[in-house]
Order: sequence, then structure tokens, then C-alpha cells
Amino acid sequence: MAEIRAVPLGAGQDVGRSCILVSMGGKNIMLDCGMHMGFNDERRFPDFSYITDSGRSLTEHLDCVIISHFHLDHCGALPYFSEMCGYDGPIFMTHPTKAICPILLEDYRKITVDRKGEQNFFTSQMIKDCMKKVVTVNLHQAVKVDPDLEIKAYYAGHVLGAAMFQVKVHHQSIVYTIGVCYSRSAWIDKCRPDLLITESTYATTIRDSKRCRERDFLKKISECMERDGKVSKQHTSHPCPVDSLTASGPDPSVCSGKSSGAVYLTRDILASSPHSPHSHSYTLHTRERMNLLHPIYFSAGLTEKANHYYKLFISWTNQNIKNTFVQRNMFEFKHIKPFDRSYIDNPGPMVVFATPGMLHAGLSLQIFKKWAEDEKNMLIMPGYCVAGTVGHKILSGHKKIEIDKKMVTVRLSVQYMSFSAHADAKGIMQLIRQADPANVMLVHGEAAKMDFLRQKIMQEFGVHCYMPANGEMVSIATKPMISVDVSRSLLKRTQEQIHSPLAKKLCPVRGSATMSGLLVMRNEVRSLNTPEN
Amino acid sequence: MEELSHYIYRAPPTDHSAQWKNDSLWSSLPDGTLKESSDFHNWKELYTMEGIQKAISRIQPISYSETIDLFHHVKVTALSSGFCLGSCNWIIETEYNKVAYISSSSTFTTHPCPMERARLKSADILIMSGLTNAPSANPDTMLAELCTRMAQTLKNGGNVLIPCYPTGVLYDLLECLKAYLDSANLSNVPVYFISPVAKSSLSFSNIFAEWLCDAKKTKVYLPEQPFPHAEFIKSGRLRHFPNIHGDLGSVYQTPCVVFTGHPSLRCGDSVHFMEAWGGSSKNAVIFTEPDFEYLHALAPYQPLHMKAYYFPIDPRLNFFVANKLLNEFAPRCLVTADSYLPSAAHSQKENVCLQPEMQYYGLTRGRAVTIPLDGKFQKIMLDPELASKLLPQEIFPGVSVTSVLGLLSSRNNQHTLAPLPPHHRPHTVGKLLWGELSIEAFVQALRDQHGIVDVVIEGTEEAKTLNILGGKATVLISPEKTTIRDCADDKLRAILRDLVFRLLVQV
Repeated sequence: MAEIRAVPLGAGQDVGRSCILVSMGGKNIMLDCGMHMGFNDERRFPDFSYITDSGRSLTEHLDCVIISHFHLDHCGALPYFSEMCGYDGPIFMTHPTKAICPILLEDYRKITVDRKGEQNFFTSQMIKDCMKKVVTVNLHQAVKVDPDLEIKAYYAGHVLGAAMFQVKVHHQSIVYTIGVCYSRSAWIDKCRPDLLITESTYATTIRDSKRCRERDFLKKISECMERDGKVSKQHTSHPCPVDSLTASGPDPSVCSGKSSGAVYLTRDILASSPHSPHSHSYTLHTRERMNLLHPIYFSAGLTEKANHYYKLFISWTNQNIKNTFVQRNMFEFKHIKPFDRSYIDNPGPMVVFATPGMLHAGLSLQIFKKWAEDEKNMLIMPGYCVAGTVGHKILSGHKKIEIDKKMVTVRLSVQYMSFSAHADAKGIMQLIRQADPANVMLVHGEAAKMDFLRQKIMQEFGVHCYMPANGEMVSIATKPMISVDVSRSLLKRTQEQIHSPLAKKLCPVRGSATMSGLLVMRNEVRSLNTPEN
Repeated sequence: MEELSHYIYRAPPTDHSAQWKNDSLWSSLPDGTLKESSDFHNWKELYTMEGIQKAISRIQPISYSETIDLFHHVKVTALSSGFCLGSCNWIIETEYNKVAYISSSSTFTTHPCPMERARLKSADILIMSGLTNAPSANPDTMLAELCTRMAQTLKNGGNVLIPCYPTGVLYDLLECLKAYLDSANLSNVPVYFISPVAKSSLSFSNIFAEWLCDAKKTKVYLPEQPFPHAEFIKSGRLRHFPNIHGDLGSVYQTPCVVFTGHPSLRCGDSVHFMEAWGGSSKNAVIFTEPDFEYLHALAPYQPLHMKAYYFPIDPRLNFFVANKLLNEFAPRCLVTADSYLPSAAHSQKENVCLQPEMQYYGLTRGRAVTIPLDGKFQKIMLDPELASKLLPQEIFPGVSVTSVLGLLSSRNNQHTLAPLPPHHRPHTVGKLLWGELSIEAFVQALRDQHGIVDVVIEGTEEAKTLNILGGKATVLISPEKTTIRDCADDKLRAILRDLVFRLLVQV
């Protein structure tokens, strides 16, 4: 009996370094190739020796690699994998992913090599060479990797260019849905895959509406600012690491002094999964009420570049932005000011959007060190933080955190607000209902939360649900249907029975009829004929 | 569509403009195209903006190579045709047959994705249409000529009008123009693009990188705008306006180059420029769209002093390329317009008509063509449980046979054969015999094993009659069946039956 085997090399009961190996119908596919933000040793990359130990090279073993989106925990190990481990086959991703991914990889390399001084890391040239192996796919385009292997991307909406992938080999199929922000645009056919692999980052969360979250977000900022304004003109600042930027950077973040649409941007860009119908009046209303007069900064460079990509890939954003972009391009912000490191000590309140979102390195960590000890300041964490990062420690309530061998006392107020556009439990359930898989496999989440979701899925859909740890294999038996040519005359004759008055007598099952024929197998051709033929 | 609708309804037709339709007036019209179209009473008014939106809202957008499944019966796939942004050819296929539809396609390297050819091969039917309207003009030569004439006119202080559609070839024209003006030292000449959709056309072209040729596609990774016209606009040399009434007046300076519609010169802002510039021989109008006969287009503006050039730029397939493609695709048969096919009027040269080497059908308006397709089989899915119980026997090397009994269910044009429910056995199930009954072997076995030698063989090549033991039994053998007849002796009958069974394969 045919089977599908899946092994997570990363992201098995964990968040970070997503990498799943799938074998089906004699084909081997690798889904994502990410890095782990919580580690700085060899554990930051998936363990590819799992493949090479069998004595075959990566290129021999793998038919293709598929990257779901540009976050580093999904593509961060790619240059290492292709240039240092020597994978030479095709790598598939969408156009925006191909555009943005090298920028993030370069940024990651800079931080690791230039700032931390690590050796034996991939180089800029390796990133370029790696990107040459990338083949881009369009949404819904059925790409034949070889005559038997077909992949198809669906819009996922997590970040710009994020996609779900369906992989088909003959009659076996799997669906990989990472980075799905469930909405009207992020849909998938009722394709009934044998296996659906989904993330479970927010497995136990059912989030309130995006609009509520945004309102809340703005309220918190303005309250903080007003308080300062009245009490004193003291230095107040709010670093807001942005998840989407974090690992990635698309976040053309944003926003508004007095007159640009802060809300709009927050909703559409930070979350980068802009589907909800927009109400312009709401935007205006909030903006006026907020009356933000203080400067708002965005970390320059990366953000600016990422912003540019959003302009070029407008077709990947939501309908509303698409419709209005000719008149007013949502991604041209008049009121954003690029942030310079020297502004850290500027007097007066300010809002700073800085990356990375998990505060494990870079500008956001630098600002945090400066501002952490003043209780007037506020930190808004916009998304999930991987265990081991400073962000994770802050969210867990640590009051004293060691950063670069110095203890920092956390006095500023910490707010957690999820803008990250991952699917929550409800979204995952909806997705499963839509695709109607025979088996589900959970990855990209924490074990305890995963288990809860697993129970729920098994209960509700009556399907097997797996949550393998890294290196643990899931094996699924599939029963592929066998396709046979049937002669039209036999088919017609049998079908007539269904509608004949004697149908009940001839066959006990309603709407069916017994068919009797002769199966002839000539080489590879199978045909079913009437006995006379 | 929006542009055309805009042009027409900007100055709505008056009631009396329909008076020519009166039979008395119509019959007095001079001979010409109008008089030949006898069904003008059925002519409809042009669609409105509302109509356009309604129609567009019904469209389901798809990607190239995305396969659409219609009723689980027919699969439809769009393939890039290389003509303009999003233009496509279609594959319509069932499990057994394939129809390819080639419409406006181009093998020239212009801005869109190149034409995809591999999947158009070996179709049962190939429908070919949308060949170039200017088969004798090479687009590259025409473009070079256009640039030269334009430069000449501009250097003499004249203006250049290029009546055009607001998308498509225009993008390539703008790109070439920019490069040419720079090299010809004319970079201070302003270029105006006037159309109600000018802004959206230029903006949209720059956000669909996925639909562009590789060179343009890779630009967005830098990130840069794929088309240079963004740069052109930024530098203030290319300006676009929705019409001539607004801001154009404040920046307008001559000499200049104007791109505007409609290329027929019957509506749109091209009319205005024709009237304004027609009087001076310094100015020039350059036609690039071969859809309209340029002399007809100019007729109402005579006498005209302005120079008129016709440099048709139509990158679609010409007959020469189309013939090459036909050989490459090698369809079983070709369906195409009668006018593309060889006829007495055409000399038999390969660059004036199609020269199909396969069977072909000509199309004329309003006439259907019926083409037979082989439809002996359909696909059925065998349930794996049923399949695992089948034990095929090999009757010839490479050919195995077995009888199958299962439960057929058909839903949404998908047929599956499942195992029969337990306890259900239909009455009429017997073993089937397979093979060819060799008469020699049969006679020999009778003789060797049963000592029966009295066998008389009669009949034709097709059906033989074996008369055994002087009429005790008759065996009729034909390719379809073997019958034992007139046999009163049960023992003999059993012998004959067993022999038949032994010489054939039971499945």
C-alpha cells in the first residue's frame, strides 16, 4: 500500500527553523528551510545530516524545495543549505518572496558576521548564488517540477507573497499551510489532500477582530503620550518591534504624525494581511481623536526598501488597496521619518517602530536597553517571541534581564498585542474544513498548545492528527484510486440500469449499479470493456 | 473599454445622427463599407461604464498554467501568448482529446511574458486566429522608421501626433522613444499621453511584474519599477492627462509628441489634435495601429497639410511564423479563418497564407464546423480494495485479463467502481472465456485424446462449422463465439465443452 512520510527537521513541536521533509510516490520534497532565532550555535539550522547520512547527496535525494514565505524562520537556512551543504536542485517561491528574502538574509548575515563576528557563515555571494536557484511560481499556477510532481501555490496572506502549497504526485497530495491569515482571499479548494500540514503558533488563541486590536493599539499609544504631555515634557518613547519586520522586514511601517492613516497602515501593513473591508471614516476619526503630534519614526534602510517592494507588489495586497492605488498609493507615507540611532536620546515623546520584533538583536534591542529603565516608557510587543530571545523573557514577566552581559531592569510598561497575521485556532479549523484532508499534521507551535488543538481537530473532524517532534517520522497509508479507461458503451449500459424501473432489484445501493466487465491490461494501458469486445 | 466608452459619451450622439438608418436615406448613401453591412438595424449602442463594471464583476481571474476544471469533464488552461499584458492562448482538454486555441500571439521580445509553446504541441484540434493585420511590415523596421520620422519632424519644429490605444504596444513605444530621444539629442522635447485612463494604464503596468518578460521581472527584485516610463514621468518629460481641458494647457509647449486616442480618429482627443495641427506641413501624424485603414481615418480631415505616415507596429504572428509554428505544434487538424487559408486568390507563397500540412477546416462567419473526435473511452476510478482482489491472467506476453464486477457510482461526471456490498451477488455472473480457438488444435485434441477422427470442416474464413461424427454434433466457431449445436449425446457434449474450456483462458 502506498504511503506518505513526513519528518520535521525543524518546527516539530517548536517555533523556528521550519523544515519538513515529505516523501510521497517516490518523490522527496522539502518544505521550508528556516533558521531558529533562539539559538546561536549549530542548532540554529535544521540538521541536514538526516538526509546525507543515507549516503545520498542533497541534490540526489530531494526533488525540490518549497519556501512558504520570507520570514527567516522559514528561509533563513537557505544559503547554508544550498551553498554550504551543496543542494543544487530547484527552490520554489513566489515573486515577492524571492524579492524580499535576499534582503533579510543579507541583514541576518550582517548581524551575525559583522556585528557578532562569527566565522564560517554564509557570505553575500552565497546568498546571490542561492537566489539563482530559485524558480518563481504564480498563484494557482500548476507547476510541473517533473512529469509526476506538481505544485500549486495559494494566497495565504500572512506577509507579502506568503503562500500555501499543494504538492501532488499521481493521486497522492499534501497541503502545506504555513503563514495563513484566514480570510476571504486566503482560501483553498476542497482538494481533499491525504495530509494537511499546518502551523499552530496561536493554537489556543482565538483573537478578537483586527479592528478592535488596532483601536486598542492606538489608544495605548495615545494614552501614553498624553500622560507625558501633561505631566512633564520628559523623554518618552515607545519602541514597537514589529513582528512582520522581524523576521523579515516587510513592514513598511509607518505612520502618522498628524495626517497619514496610522490605523490604515497598522491594520494593513503591520498585519500585512489586509482583507477586512476598510472604513475610511474610521481611520479619519481615530486619527483626529488621537491627535498625535509627536514624531513617529521607523527604522530606516531595510524598512524603506521593504516599503518599496510593497509598492511594486500591490497586486499581492488586498482588493481595497489595489482599487485605490492609482489615486493614492497606500505605501507612500508622507509622515514617516526614518529613524537614526542618534535620535535615541532626543528629548520629548516619540514613537519608534523598530525591528526585530523578538528583540534578539539589532535596533530594537539597542533602543530597549536605553529605555527599559524609565517607567514612563512603553513597549508594545506585536507578536510571538521564540523561547530564548529577550522578547520572550520580557513577555514572560522577567524584571531583570541580562543583555550583553549587563543586567537591565525592566521598568517600562509592557503591552502585548498580536498583529502577527498567523492563523488562530479558528482559522486553522476553518482551513481544515475547507480542504477536507484525510490526515492533519501540526508543526510550528509549542507542544502543550499543539496537543490541545490536536484533540480538538480529531474530535471535530474525525481525522488523524499528528504532532511529531523534530526527527520523528509520521507515516500515512494512502489508498490511491486506480484510473482505468472504460468503454463508453459499457458505462452507458450500466448507467442506464441506475435509472431503470428495475434499479432496486438489480442493485441494493441507491444511485449505483453493478457493472460487469473485462479488464484488459496491455503494457501500461488498462481498459475496462464489455465482455463481447 | 473605459476609454472608448468615455470618448463616445463625452459628446453623446444626438437623435438625428441616426437618421441615415432610414431606408430611403440609406439607399442614397455612396457605395462603401456602410452600405455593405445590411444588419445595421441590429447595431447596439456602445456599453456604458456601468455595463463594463457589471461585465467585469463576472470574471474570475486566473493565472497562466492554472488548470480550471469544468464539471469534472473538461479542463481549461491559459498559457501566455506573448502579445500583451495577460494575453493568453487556451488549452481545452478532456482525458482523451486536446483542443488548442491560439489567438493574438507574438514571438517578438516585447514587454509581456514570452509565448509558451511546449503545451500547444500535438493537439487533436488547433484553432488559429488573431494573426497580424500588417503581415508585410516588420515591427522592428517600422519602429526604426517611426523614430527617424519623428526626430525629423521635431527638429524642423513640428509636432508629432501618434493616435494609439492606451495600453499594449504603447509601453514598448514609450520605452524606445525615451532611448531614441536621448540619443537624438531631443531630450528636452516633452511627451504627452492623453487619455482618461492614462494614469491607471501607466500605474498598472508597473505592478504586474509577474506578467512581464524576464528582464522586466528581475527589475523588481532590485527593487526598481519594471518599465522605464516611471522614470520618464519622474523626470517630467512624460506627462499624462485625462483630457486636453485641464492642466495640459499650463504646461503645454511645442514641439512635442502626443500619444492619444482613438486610433480611428473618429472620437477622442486625437480629433482635436488633428484639427489643431492639420493645417501645418511641419507637423506629422504617425499611425501605428493597423486596425484602421489610415487613409480612411484621414478622409474627413482633407485637405490636410500635415504629413501622414503609416508605420504599422503589430507584433502578432505573421504567416511565415505561423506556418513554422504549425509545423512545430503538429496538430491532428487545423481550424482557421477561410481568409487565412490558401485559395485561388493567394499565390502559394508561405508568407501570404497558411500552408497547413495536416487536415484543415476553414471558418466563415455564422457557419459551424463539425469535427469528429475519438470518444470510445472514459475514465473510471477503481477502488483500491476492489483492485487488490483482482487477479489478472496473462494470455499473451504483456497482455493480462480479468473479469471485474463492481458497484458503479457516477457523481459530477466522475465514475468510481467500488466492491459490491456483502451478500449481494447478481444472478448473471459467469466466467468469461478469452482467446482464439485454434481449429487445428481442437481437431488434433479430439483425435489424440478421444479418438474422434470423423471431423468435417466447412465454412468461410470467418466462421467455420465442424461436423463431428457424421452429424452427432456441430461446432460453430467464429471469432466472437463458439457454439455446440445439435448434440444429443451428453457425454460427447461434455468432451467438446471441456476441450473448448481448455483451449481458451477462463477469466
